[in-house]
Amino acid sequence: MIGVILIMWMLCNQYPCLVMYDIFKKTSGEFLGKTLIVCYAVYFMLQGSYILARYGHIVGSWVLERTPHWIIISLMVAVSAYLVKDTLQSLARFYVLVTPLLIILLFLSTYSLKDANFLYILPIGSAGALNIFKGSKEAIFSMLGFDFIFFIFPFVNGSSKQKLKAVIMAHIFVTLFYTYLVFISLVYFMSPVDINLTPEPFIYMIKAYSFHVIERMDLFFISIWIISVATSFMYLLLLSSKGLANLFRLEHTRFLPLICVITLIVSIWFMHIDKLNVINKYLTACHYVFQLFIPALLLAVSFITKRRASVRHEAK
Amino acid sequence: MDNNRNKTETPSMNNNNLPIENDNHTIEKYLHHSFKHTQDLTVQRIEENGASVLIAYLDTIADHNKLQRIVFQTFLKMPLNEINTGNQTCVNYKVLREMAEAKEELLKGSCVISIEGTKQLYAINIANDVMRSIAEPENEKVVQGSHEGFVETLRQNVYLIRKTLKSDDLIIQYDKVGDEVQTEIALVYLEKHSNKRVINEIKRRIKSKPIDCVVNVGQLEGLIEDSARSPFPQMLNTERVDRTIAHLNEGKIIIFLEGCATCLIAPVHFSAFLQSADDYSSRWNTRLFISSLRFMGIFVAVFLPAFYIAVIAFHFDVLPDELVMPIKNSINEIPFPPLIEAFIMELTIELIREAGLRLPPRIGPTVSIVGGLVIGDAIVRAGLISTTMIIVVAITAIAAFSIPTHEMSEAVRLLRFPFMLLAACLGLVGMSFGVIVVLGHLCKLESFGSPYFTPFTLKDFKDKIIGKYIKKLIKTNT
Amino acid sequence: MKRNKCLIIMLSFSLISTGCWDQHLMKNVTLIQALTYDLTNKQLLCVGAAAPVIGNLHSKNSSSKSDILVTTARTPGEAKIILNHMASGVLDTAKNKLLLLGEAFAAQDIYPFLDLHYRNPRNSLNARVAVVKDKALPLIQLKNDREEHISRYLLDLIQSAEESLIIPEENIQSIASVLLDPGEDITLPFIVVEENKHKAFVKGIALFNDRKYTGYHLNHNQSTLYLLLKKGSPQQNSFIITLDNVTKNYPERFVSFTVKHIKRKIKLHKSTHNQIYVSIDMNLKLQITEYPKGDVENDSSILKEKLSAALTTLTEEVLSHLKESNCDALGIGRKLMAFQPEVWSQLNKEDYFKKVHFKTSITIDGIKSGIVK
Repeated sequence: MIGVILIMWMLCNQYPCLVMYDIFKKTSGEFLGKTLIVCYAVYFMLQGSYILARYGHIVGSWVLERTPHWIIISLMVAVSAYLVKDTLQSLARFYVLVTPLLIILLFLSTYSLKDANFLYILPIGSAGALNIFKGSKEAIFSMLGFDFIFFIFPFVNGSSKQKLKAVIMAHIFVTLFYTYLVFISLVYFMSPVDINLTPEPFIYMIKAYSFHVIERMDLFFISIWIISVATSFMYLLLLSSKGLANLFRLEHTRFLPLICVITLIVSIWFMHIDKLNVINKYLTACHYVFQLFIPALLLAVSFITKRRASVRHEAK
Repeated sequence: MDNNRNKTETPSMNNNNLPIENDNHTIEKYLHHSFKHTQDLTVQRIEENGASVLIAYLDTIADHNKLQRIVFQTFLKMPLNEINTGNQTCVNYKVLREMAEAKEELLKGSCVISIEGTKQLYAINIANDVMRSIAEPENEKVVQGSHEGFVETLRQNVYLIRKTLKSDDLIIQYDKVGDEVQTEIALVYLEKHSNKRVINEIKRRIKSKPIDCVVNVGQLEGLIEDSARSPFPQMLNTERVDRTIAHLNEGKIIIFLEGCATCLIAPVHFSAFLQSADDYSSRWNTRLFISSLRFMGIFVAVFLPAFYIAVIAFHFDVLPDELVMPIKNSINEIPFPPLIEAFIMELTIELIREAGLRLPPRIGPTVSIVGGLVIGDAIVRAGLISTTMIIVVAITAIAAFSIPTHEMSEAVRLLRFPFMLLAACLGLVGMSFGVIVVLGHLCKLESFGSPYFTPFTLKDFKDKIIGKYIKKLIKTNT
Repeated sequence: MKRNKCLIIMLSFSLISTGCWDQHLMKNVTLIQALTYDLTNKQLLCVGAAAPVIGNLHSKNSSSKSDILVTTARTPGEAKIILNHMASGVLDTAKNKLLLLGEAFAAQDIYPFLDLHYRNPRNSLNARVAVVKDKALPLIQLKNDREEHISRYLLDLIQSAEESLIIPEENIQSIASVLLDPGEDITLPFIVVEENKHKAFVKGIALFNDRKYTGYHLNHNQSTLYLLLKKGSPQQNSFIITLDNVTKNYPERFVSFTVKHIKRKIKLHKSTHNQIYVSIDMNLKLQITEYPKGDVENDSSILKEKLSAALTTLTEEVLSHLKESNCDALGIGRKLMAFQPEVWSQLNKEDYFKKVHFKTSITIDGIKSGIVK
């Protein structure tokens, strides 16, 4: 994971004042760069649709069972588009604003420790290191996402080292947070029978809480979680629209309606075919390609071209 | 049409940059013409010291005592050469260069004097200083601290600032706003603290926006604020002197408008609307408690009715066991769906507020008693509205009124209706979409280039809250 | 701008005109607050549901009581459908507080019948579960004068018993993991209806083996001790123990006390697949609440000795009950799974608990006498 971050960072460091999309063009030539941009935009859109479909599925099965999915999803798209159409700065402000909501999550999960059974996680490592590695491979990319900061690298204040530090810190935090949640879910539920029966163990777990003034914490949790979903959908929306904008040298807001409609339709289709796990598998492969191989390739290319340029420079 | 005809007759008369004519007759004609023969324009011609003197003033805003004392008894008694040399030992007068200036001076309440043979016009201020006495603003009362409030005269307001803030850093800039009728405004700021960029931006906006006439700060605000369509106020209105001064010290820019007792403060942050003037005089822990209470007030005022609707229409399973039966009992026989029920009650409360607002103080309480107690009691007895709904609406109303700034209170009261609608459509999920939009909107807003709603970061917290008190502690200890 | 306005208007219009699919008005709902599951003679499920009747708001002393709906069906789901036809409003179990299982019903595998409760997001998961002696239905048909709703009365009964450490705090959610765990068994409150007195009575703890009620239950003293063993933190609790049978003055034969502080250790020793060794160590601090003989301080060493002996026998009673019913309530199997997985894998998951050898030692560290000597 850290490797992915490092590759992205080094690539950006080569061209500190260029947007990622411009780097594509610079390193791989005009035509190839443009195809890459389109690919990335499509990749972001796909990921966005997947997130939408997941969200629609969870809201549909937990809270609004009879509301048609397209309403839930299109509301999310509309709301996100409203925020994305403005500046990057206001988006960043919004993200900072909603970060404290994580504290509520933390509190809710910690509360469940009161009827936890720590024996459920023991013995650790019984499945063998290989299985653990295989399992983590699936999960690793759900933690990725902060490296997209490199797509907006030049807009961020601070030296490139600071940026790297921020990204790594964010990753470590998120990893720890996820580990904590998984740990809590495991401790609360019986492994492996019970946890296999519940696809969303965390929500299930907080459903039974009673705080004397309020019950059904899962409803509140999902309402708050919608905001987090919106943030992750928003950045995907932003990046894909920026990509297209970069392609045609136009304002990114021009492409927003188009992208919104596409993601909306694709996500409804995803929900319709009802095979989110299969889609997730394909997406995982995409993650490898787009987050690991292509940046690594570009990095290599940029090293070679730079060296060649410097050699030529010396020759002169 | 009228204008056109005039132009053909005397083409020079509409030209405001007219140089001063020597001819008293022409001057008189010009003045009468530009004031459209209003009857309170008084033009007198007298012979003094052998010269023909023209005296013009607007009768309604001139002080006759002053006219007598300053103009007739002093100014006109001065020898002509002394006036010409600009000796102002006895009378303070102004020498005018253009006819347009004469017009302006007249409107300010000056008396314009033309002495035949001098080729100059003189203006002496004889304005009638009818002024309201300085009183505590009705809508921003405080328990302790200064009880001064602004009045409707611009200069008096600036005086109040100058008097309290004795600093050579205080800068006052006059400007005019309005195309047809020009109203004087004053920008007041502290040179050291304020941001030059913001000042220039304000000036630019005042200049660039076309408007016929500004009579109210509200209009001015709508004219120059960043996003006029937002429900949130982006400039702070206040009538309090101490509050204005506190904001001046924070580097804010104050805009006064002639004829308005309220001043505008920009750029402001969202939290400024939750501060009351009392905050400056209370201890820090009380202030912390009270300001968090107000934050809660906003929260309650926006979300409580919506949350209640979401609960009883969608997820009543969030209620604990002990609450289910009482609420179920109270709403079981209500004929309306919760949204309608809530709208009826909210609108009733708003109506009562609006009705009570305009009535004389003796009738006002009656309205609130009839509205609040009688209707509230009867509507429950009749079984139209549930008791819990009454409780929810009443708490909401109180919470909305606890917000110290009138404009923010209005914004919050308005904001809860869309939330109620969303809650009635999609329950809690709808509400969280509303939250996203409102938060996003707040994040988008900017008040003259500075963010309107920045969240607290850890660094801010350290600098502002802890830092301040530690510094204070050190100061008091040494 | 105009396009935006159009969009907003269209969106809100579509929301308002078509919205509210999930609207679920509270006033149209018949709330079920207690459910009973019984087994009829024909092996069918007999479901009873208590729904409180909502009285008129203004006549305060109208005795609002519960409406009892009864039906027989093959599964809880079918019963819900039938009950829905009987009730005046839409039936809703979101605020269900009690799930009472009749003895005969509990004696079969209960998990399949709970599936309905786990699957539907609106169902309440924190309803208390309890086993009722004989049939559960008469329990919610009790007439009680003081409490308006029978479910409230029963819930209060159960909660107060939970607080005084007679029964474990179990709800539908918390038993799920344990039901599915081969290494641990559930225990549920055991309630008895006293026919002539119109009262319910918490008798102790019903022991389950795997997912079936075994027919064994623990009495008060045993339940409290078992819960102390299991939870390790004393709340309100009380014991009464016979000191000796020879003292002439009858009341002086007894002592009652509460446990103030407990340090307990359930330790799994090296085991084989035939013999599992578990030692239970308890260190207690007691407070005497009743000692008619008087002068606790003087007798404290004798008391310590006698009480620890009595408590040890009590513990052994509890353990033998558990063993007889093959109810691994202490989670020994789970411990084996965690610490000695190789032993666990060789064990017969059904009756491993019979092979567990317990060694108990109870020491009493201190005795407080209360506010008199």
